Order: sequence, then structure tokens, then C-alpha cells
Amino acid sequence: MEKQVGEVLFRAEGICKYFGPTVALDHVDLSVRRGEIMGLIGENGSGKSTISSIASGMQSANEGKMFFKGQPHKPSTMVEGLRLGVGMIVQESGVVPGITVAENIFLGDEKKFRKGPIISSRLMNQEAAKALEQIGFSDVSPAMPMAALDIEQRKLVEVAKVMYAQPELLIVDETTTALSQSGRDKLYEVMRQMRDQGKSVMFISHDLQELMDICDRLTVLRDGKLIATVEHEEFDENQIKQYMVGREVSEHYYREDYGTPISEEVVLSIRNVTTGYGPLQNFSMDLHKGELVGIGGLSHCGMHELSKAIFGDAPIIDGEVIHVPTGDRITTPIVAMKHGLGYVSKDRDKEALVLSASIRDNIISAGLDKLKNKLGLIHPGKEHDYVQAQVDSLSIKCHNMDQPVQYLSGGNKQKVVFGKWVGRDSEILILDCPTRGVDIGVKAAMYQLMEDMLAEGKSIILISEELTELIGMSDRLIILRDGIVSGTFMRSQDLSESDIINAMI
Amino acid sequence: MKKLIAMLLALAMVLALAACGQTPAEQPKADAPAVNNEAPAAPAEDNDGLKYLTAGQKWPEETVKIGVPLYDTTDSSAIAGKAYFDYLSQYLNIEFVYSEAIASAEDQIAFVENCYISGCKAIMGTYDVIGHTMIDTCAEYGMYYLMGPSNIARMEGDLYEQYKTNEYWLGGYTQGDLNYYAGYACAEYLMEKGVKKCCYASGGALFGVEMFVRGQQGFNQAFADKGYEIEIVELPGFPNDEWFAAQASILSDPTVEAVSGLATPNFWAMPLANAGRDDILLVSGSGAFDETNMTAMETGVLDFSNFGNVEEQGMCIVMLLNALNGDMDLVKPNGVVELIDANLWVYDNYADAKAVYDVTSGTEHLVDINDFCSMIKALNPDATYETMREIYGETDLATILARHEANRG
Amino acid sequence: MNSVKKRRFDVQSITRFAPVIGLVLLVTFFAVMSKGKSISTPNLKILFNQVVLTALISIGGVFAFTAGAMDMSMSGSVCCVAVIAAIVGNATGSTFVMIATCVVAALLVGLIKAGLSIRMNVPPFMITIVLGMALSSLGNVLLGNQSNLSVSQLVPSGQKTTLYIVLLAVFYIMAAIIFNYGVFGKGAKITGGNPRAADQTGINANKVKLYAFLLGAVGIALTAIVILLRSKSVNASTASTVGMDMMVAIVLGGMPLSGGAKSKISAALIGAAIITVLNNGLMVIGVDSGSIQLVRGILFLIVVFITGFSYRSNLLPR
Repeated sequence: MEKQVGEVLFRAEGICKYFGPTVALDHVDLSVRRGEIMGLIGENGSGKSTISSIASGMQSANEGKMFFKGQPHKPSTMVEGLRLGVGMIVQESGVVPGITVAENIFLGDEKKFRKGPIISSRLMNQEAAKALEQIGFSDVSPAMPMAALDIEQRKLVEVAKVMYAQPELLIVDETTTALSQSGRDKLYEVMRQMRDQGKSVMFISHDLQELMDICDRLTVLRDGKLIATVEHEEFDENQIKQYMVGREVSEHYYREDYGTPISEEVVLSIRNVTTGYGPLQNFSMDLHKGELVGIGGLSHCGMHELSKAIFGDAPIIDGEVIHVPTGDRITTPIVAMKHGLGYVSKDRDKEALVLSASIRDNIISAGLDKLKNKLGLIHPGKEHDYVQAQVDSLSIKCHNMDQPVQYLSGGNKQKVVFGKWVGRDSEILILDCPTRGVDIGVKAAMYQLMEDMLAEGKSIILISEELTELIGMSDRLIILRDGIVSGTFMRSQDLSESDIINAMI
Repeated sequence: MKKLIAMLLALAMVLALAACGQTPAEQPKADAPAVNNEAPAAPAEDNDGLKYLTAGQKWPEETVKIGVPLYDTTDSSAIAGKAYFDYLSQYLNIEFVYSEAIASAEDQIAFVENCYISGCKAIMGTYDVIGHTMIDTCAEYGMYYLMGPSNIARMEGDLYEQYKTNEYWLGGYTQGDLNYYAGYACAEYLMEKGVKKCCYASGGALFGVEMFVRGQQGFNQAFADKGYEIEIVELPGFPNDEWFAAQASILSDPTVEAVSGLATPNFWAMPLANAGRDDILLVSGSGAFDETNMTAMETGVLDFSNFGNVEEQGMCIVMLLNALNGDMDLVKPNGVVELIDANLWVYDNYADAKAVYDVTSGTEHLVDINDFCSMIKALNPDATYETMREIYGETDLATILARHEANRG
Repeated sequence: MNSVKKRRFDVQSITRFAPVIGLVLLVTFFAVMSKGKSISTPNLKILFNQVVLTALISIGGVFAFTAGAMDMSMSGSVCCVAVIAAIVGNATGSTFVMIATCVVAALLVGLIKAGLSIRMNVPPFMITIVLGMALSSLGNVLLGNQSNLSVSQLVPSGQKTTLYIVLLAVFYIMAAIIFNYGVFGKGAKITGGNPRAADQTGINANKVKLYAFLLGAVGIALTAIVILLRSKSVNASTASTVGMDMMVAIVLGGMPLSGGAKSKISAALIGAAIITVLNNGLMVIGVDSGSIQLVRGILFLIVVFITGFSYRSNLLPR
């Protein structure tokens, strides 16, 4: 068949996908043409990963049709998808760590290197070296065990594996987040090569800048619906953002107040804390009423362990955390909660939520002591009001409060976590990366919530890996390097990222 | 939607299966009352051989269902019992409802209740750890309770006095004493042979399992009664590593002259042969007329054995049928339950044992259908309680075969 | 859009009510096949008698299982408690003392279980497997040479269906209130669903375990009482099938054995009813014992299949 650039290679019509009561895709039509890199963007939970996994055969649609090279396309597995010519590099790592690089590349396809009864690893390694070279990746030897590779190298092996099958449509799903700039460049190069050969790429990312640089066309999804398709020449960052969130996005979603006086009253005093895990040593700090203290650093600087230690959830080998108004030591989460502390873990799915439990049960779980009567029973009406108040004020998107949280998008899940602590009227909140994996709209809502809490005289410790967030929100910003305080910055409009980065590294 | 379909399909499958299992069981019931139907399951012998029944017509008219609780459905005597009942049901309109393996008293009571609702007239006890409670439970539901010879519940002394006039208890065999006498007989044989040192494999006596406890009691009592001096090495429990180690050390002890216990050939025949200890007498109590025992006897490994006979369970059915016809004088002649000792068929040579085995394992039976019917008053007006005791008390093969001949003539 | 939502909801509620629907279908099926015999008054009475045991123990079991503490010692506990109560009852000649002993002994057993699983850093199911063996051996030792210990003097004769129903109803209502509206019930679901999250939410895991085992102990006590009343005797095999029946009931009732947020107290009642109706019904319509096992085996496979089905769809990426 003549490969005609511009001809439609892949087309999806009316694709619907449900997870339980959640509609992940709602009659989505989309197409990819030969010789283009088509970008797919949307907030978390917009359905962009779902549509790509359907196209590749990882899961099947509930409704709708797909066509590939003019033929009906309905792969039932990723292997079948790849055989038909649709290859996908997945978001989560798809490699097996226990075997060699070459074995990973030819996983399930070892037979072709058979010499009599044995598999020739020499032949396999030769072929694997070719596959790696093809994508310009020669840092690793095919005979190396996968376990010896770092995340970036593993991702690139996966790219080599998919590319070896010479797909006509390559789907790249959020792969670049795991890659450094040089790794990204390699992948971009692969994608451009595909385009130049008259093949196609579907590139999924939530990094708008990246997509605008690489793609020829952009498709925007929101809440499982196709919102818009924009050609390269029409790219307009603000317009696309607006498509993504469905409304005008203001540049200014951080705090805008400067020089607000902070109360002298200290509510929490952290004294000479050294944690049992992580590098944190001899950390001291006072948290004032109505103050937001930001804590930043590289991800292994000890700040995450600190957040747990403050809440009594991680061992402290030296030092103490004192609730100043009562003079009590915080030793366990139960004591912490009695003194009005709340903690939002960085690891939302594993620590902060019970995924199989409903929104109701999750929100109520932190408020049991507040709601129970003398017999240890909770009035169902009171419980309903308590949860409903949080669902309403945080505008958690759900059909009803008995829906399991596992079906919610990342942002909505995080709102439920906030609901737990806001609901019980926490005086001091420890937030560890609260906006991680959350889309712009929810981020803005969370910043607003923090501001409201500060205005009510509540105090917040915000631990974050995002500099702009720390600069934008903190009254005081403490930077850690290898477990030791390397800089303290007061809130100011003149605070520059470079000063802070210098303290971090 | 898919889930719903899967579920409905699953349910349909279960129901279909239930229906499949149900059909064959239901069929005989449908056929049963029919008069002059095509001969159902042609009897093994000539129709003319039937003395009290009309060929091709089952008696009685209404099906009599009997519940049989089993504690081990793979047990050889349970299987042999089922085969004998199948033989009887070719001629008689009786049906047996067997339990699954019963593990506890609760299971047993639930089984009795389920038997009642499925229309059973009686429960024939085989595994009744709770004897008298069974009588109470059966009485609650108006079912008769009978004790088969392998029943292990004890109904003696005070309990017997309390229940002997109970309307619903028809009696049957005394329980575990079969094992008691089995042990006793083994000891008698050892004394006769002048054995001075013997290993006794006491099996489940360690865990208080009734049949083994009674077997061992009988064994020891026999020596005590005669004041006989003997050294007994006890090997308790069932085969595991430890048990095999102990067995090996016994087999290597040259002073051991005999091995005894209940149903010993299963665990001892091979090891004895392998150790080359032909000199050790293997003495088994309470075995079954089965191939393992016969082979062991034929090869000379098993020197002495006594057997219980599953056909004796038929006596319970005779009693039940008489009771259902209102002939209580053939069941409880003095108005009270009679406790009847189960018979032991005792052999110290292969030829005699084989003769009985050939009869019971073939198409013949020690108590055949004519013998059986001759004890039912509704079929044979001359039947008496004593005839029944006599027929079931007979353990001489020649007499039994002669009786068969007379019946046919 | 609206129609889509509505349909999804229907399927979900059917999944949720699958055990009840299964039970109703089962009852209907047997009623038709047995021409009404299976739902006749005498059989309903029998069904009540039979369902009580499994239901009582399962209600007790649901608490422990919800909190993620698989209790494998239910059979052993009931056996041991019943034996102790029978011995004490016979010694004192008092029915009341026998029943009181059941309660006290069961609570003691519950405390031991809780104590061990709080103290030892070993999964509760391993502790309870060992403990279960120890308890049934203890019952055995206490029985001594008696293979069967009768308590018939202490138990008034006659049908006790009404008493059983009252016992079951009171325990179920109490359990349902604690489970659905109690701080403990909610805490147990969270603890069972995600122990880390429970820790960080200030739920005291040790307290949850203690209450779970104590409430389980109430189930054990009631089960032992009903066994004594029903079989009027105890022996080494007493309650030996109770533990397995409980687990099967919980699964058939639609609750995962791993506990957590999807646990529900009604699973105990409905599951127990399903097993009882199935065993009884198959016998009533005259299926022989071999086929009963087959049918039951297939039914459980189907249940496992359906549960697997829902687990799988939950794991799919969003």
C-alpha cells in the first residue's frame, strides 16, 4: 500500500469506557494521520491514558469502533496490538528486572534465536545491540542485568523493545517524566524519525510546553470528552490551558499577600529532631499561629521523614516535638490528632486513603472521636452531614458519598484526604506534597483552602518538591540539604528561584 | 452488564447441575409403586428362586427410606455395606440416604433433620458418637432409630435403662463391643500359641477413638482373665515418620514373637515381609472380608484374623420393616430393646476364610433375599423373633449354605 | 449521559445484592423442585435450627476478618469452650453455670488471641492457626478417656427453635449496630482496608484487634451454647467444621476474607443461609451425597470466579 503522508492511519469512533460508575471516556472520536506527532493532553482523569491503552490493546472499550490502516482494529492484548503495528511505551515500567537487557527486549520472542534446543544468547545480544543502536542508545550492554539499570535506562530499553517491532503507530504515554533531558532528546529523536518515515506517533503528556514543542497537532481531553483539536500553527498556550480546565485560568493562584504580620504565638515547637530513617539531623523550628512554613529540598533531603516525625508517625531518635499551648510531647498520631494536628501523606494511595473504602468512610475515619457518643456509636444523620459538608465545600466530584475512592481521579482523591483533616477542624496541618499529581484546577482550590485556613488562624507546614509553590505560598521557607538546614527565606516578592536552588544543591 | 450475564450463567450452571444429580436419584421412586412394571434391574438369580416375593414386584408398596450417617465414605465396610443394600433394594422397595462424611455432632443432627424432611422412616446408626441424643432427635421427628453393628455409640447401663422402652428406639447391635471381642479373641489366640512378647499397635486409642480403646481393653482383659504373663510393647498412633521408626525397631527385636492390633495387615503385612520376619505372628482384630486381608492370609503373613460382617446390618432393616408393619413382637419381644452382640467371624486358616469371602464377594450372600424375607412377618407368617436371632447368629458357612438350598427347594 | 449513568448504577446494585439474589433463587429453585416441601413449615423450622450455628459463628468471625485478622481458630475455640462448659456444668449440675462458663471461657480465649496478636509481630492468621490446634488439643485432653461427654441432664428436652431465633436476632442486631454505626466497626474497616492509613488517621490498631477478638468471642460463646443445647454432648469432633463453614459463609455472603472496607455484617447471615439452604435443599430433592459435594464445589468455584472478576476490574488503570 502506498504510504501517503497525511492519510489517516488510526481512527477511533465513539469510544466509551466505564470503570464501575465512573465514565472514563465518553464517545471520543479521534484520528492520527501518517507523518505526524499527535499530542494528547488533559488533566489527570481526563481519559488520555485510557484511550491510549485501548488503542494498544491493554484494555478494551465498552463501546465504539477503531480503525487502523483502514481495517477494523480491536486488539485484545498489547502483544496483538504490537503485531498489528501499534506499539505503546507505558507510563508504568513494563520491564522485568530479573533478566538481562536483551532478554527483556525479546521477551516472549526468544524462539527466533534458537539453535537446536538452546537459545543462543550471543545471537540475541547481537540483535539487541542493533535494536538499542537504532534508537541511539548505546550506554548499556545487552548482556547487563536489567536490575543494574536506573529508571531512565530501563525506560529506554523499553523504547528499544517497542521500536524493534517497527510499529507504524507509536504511543508514548507520560514516558518523559522518568527521563532526563538527554533521555528525552533520544526519545524525541525516535519520534521525529517515525514522523519522517511516514509513520505516526501519539504522544501523551501533561507537560504542555513539551507537547507544544514536539507535536504537529494537539488533542485536548477533559472529563473523558474530546474538547478540541488544535493544529501546530494555532497553538496558543492560554487557549489550550483553558480547554484543559474548562475555564479561564488565572496566572495567579498562589497567595498574593506580602508582609502580613505573623502572630507571636508559637503553636508547635520542633526541637533538635533527628529521625530514625532518612538523613534528617538536629532540626529545630517554631511554627506560629496562622503561619505557613514551607520546607523544601531535593527529594532525599529528609523533609518527608520530617513530616512523619512531626505527626508522631516515624521514629525520632533524638529531640522532641512539643505542642506549645499544652506543653505536651507529640509521640504518636493519636496524640497528634488530640492536639489538633492533621497530616496529608505524600503517598496518597498507600497511606492517606483506603482505596476500597467509600468517600464517606475515608472522610469519617479521622473524625470518629469527634462524632461518637458515650456508647461509641455514631449517629448516621450526623455522619452524613459531616461528610456532605466536606464534599460540598471541597466540591469533590462524585455520584454519591458511598462511591469507593479508587474510582476518583488524583485530584478528587486528594480532596478526600483534605476532607478528612478539614472536617475534624485541624489546627495544624502538615502537608507533604499535597499538590503532587493534581491538575491545575484542583491545585488552585487547594491553595485557596490553605489561604482560608491561615486566615482562620490555623497553621500549616507545607513540604514540597515544587519550588514555585513553596515560594508562592510560604511565610517562611526552610531549605534542607542532606538532612541539615541550608537556608531560611522569609516571604518576599523578590525571592528568586536561583537563591533557593543554590541552598538545595 | 457482563458481570450480570456471568452471574446468571453461573447460576444456571449450578441449577442445571443440581437437576442432573437429581434425576437418577428420583427415578427409582417414580418406578417404585408401579404394579407389573417391566422387571426393574433383573435380579441376579432366576425369578423362581424367590420364595416370598413376586418376581418383578417390589415390596412393600410404599418406599421405605432409611438414613445412614457415615463418618468415612471411603471406608471399606461402608462401601461393602452399600453394595449389600443395593442387592436388597433390587427386590425390596427400600431406599438409602447416605450422609457425606460426618465430622461432628452438629453435622449429624443436621443430617437427621434433613433425612426427616426428605421422608426417611428411620436412621440406621453407624457413626453415632452421641447415641442417646440421636434417639431424642429421631423421636422429635417421629423416626425410628436403629444401631448397626459398626455403630460406636455406647448404650449400656443407665442410658440403656433410660431408653430401653423408648418408642422410637428399635435396638440393633451393641456398639464397639465388636472391637472389644475382636481384641479379646486376638489375645486368646496369642495365649494359645504361647507368645511371651508381643507388640500391640493401639492406633487411635491414643486420641480416645472408641473402637481402638475398646479393642485394646478387650485385648488386655483377656490376659488378665487368664492371669497370663506377657510382655506387651505398645505402638500407639497412626503411621508417620516417628511411627515407622518405632515399627522398624520392633521388627529388629528378635524377642518379639507377634504383632497384634485392629486391622493390622494394612500397615504390617509389607514391612514384615520386607524384614523377613516370617517368625512373627500377625494377629488382626476386626478386619473386613476384603482383598488386603485375604491376600495377607493366603501368603501366610496374616496368621489370625477376625472379621465383622457388614451383612449383619440387614438385621436393622428386618426390624424396621417388621416395626413399620406393626409386628413389634418381632422387634422388641419383651417390650424393651434387646441389645444384640455383633458376630465375629474368627479364622486362623486361609481356606475357611476364603470360603466365606467367596460367598460375600460374589453374587451369593450369607443372608440372601430369601433368608431376609423369611424374617418379615408380613411376608412369612411363620417368622419369629427367634428365627431372626438364629439366622443372624449363625457363623458356620456349611449351615448357611444348607439353609440357602432349603429355601430354594 | 443520563441513561449511561442509570445503567451503571443498576449493574452495581445487582453485584452488591448478588448474595441475596442468589439466596432467593436458591430457595425458589428448591421450592419448585421439591414441590413446596423445602418451604413447608417443618422444613423452615429445620432450616432455622441449622442456620443458627453457622450464622452465629460467622457474625463473630466477620469482626475479626474485617479488621484484617483472619481468625483460623474458631473451630478449636468453640470446641474447647464447649468442653470446659460441659465439664463445669456437669460438676455443678447447673444449666446456668454451664452457659455462664461458655461466656467466660470464650471471652478468655478472645483475650488470649488479642493479647498474642498485639504482642507478637506475626500475622494473626498464623497465630490463630497454632492457637486453634492448641485449643482443640486442650479440649481433647480435658475430655480425657471419655470419647463423648453428655450434658443431657442439663438440657431440657424439646424443640428450641424459638430460643435460637431470639439468640440470633439479638446478636445480629447488636453486631449490626456496632458494625455499621460504631466507632469500632468503622475503625475495623479502615484498619483492614489499609493499616498504614489507619495508623495515620489515629485509629488504634491494638484496640481494634482487642474488640474484634472479643466480639468474635461472643460469637464463639453463643455457638458453644447452641451446640450444647442441640447435641446435648461434646466430644473431640465438636465444632470441627464450624470454622470452615464460617469462612465459606462469609465468602458466599459477599465479603472478601481479607476484610477491609468491603466487609459487611449481612454476609454472615446471608452466607450461612445459602450454605444451609443448599445442603438441606439438595437432600430434600434427593441428590445423593456424592453429587452434593460436586454441586457445592462448583458453586464455590463460581463464587471465586465472580469475586476474581470484580477484583480484576478494580485493578484496571484509570
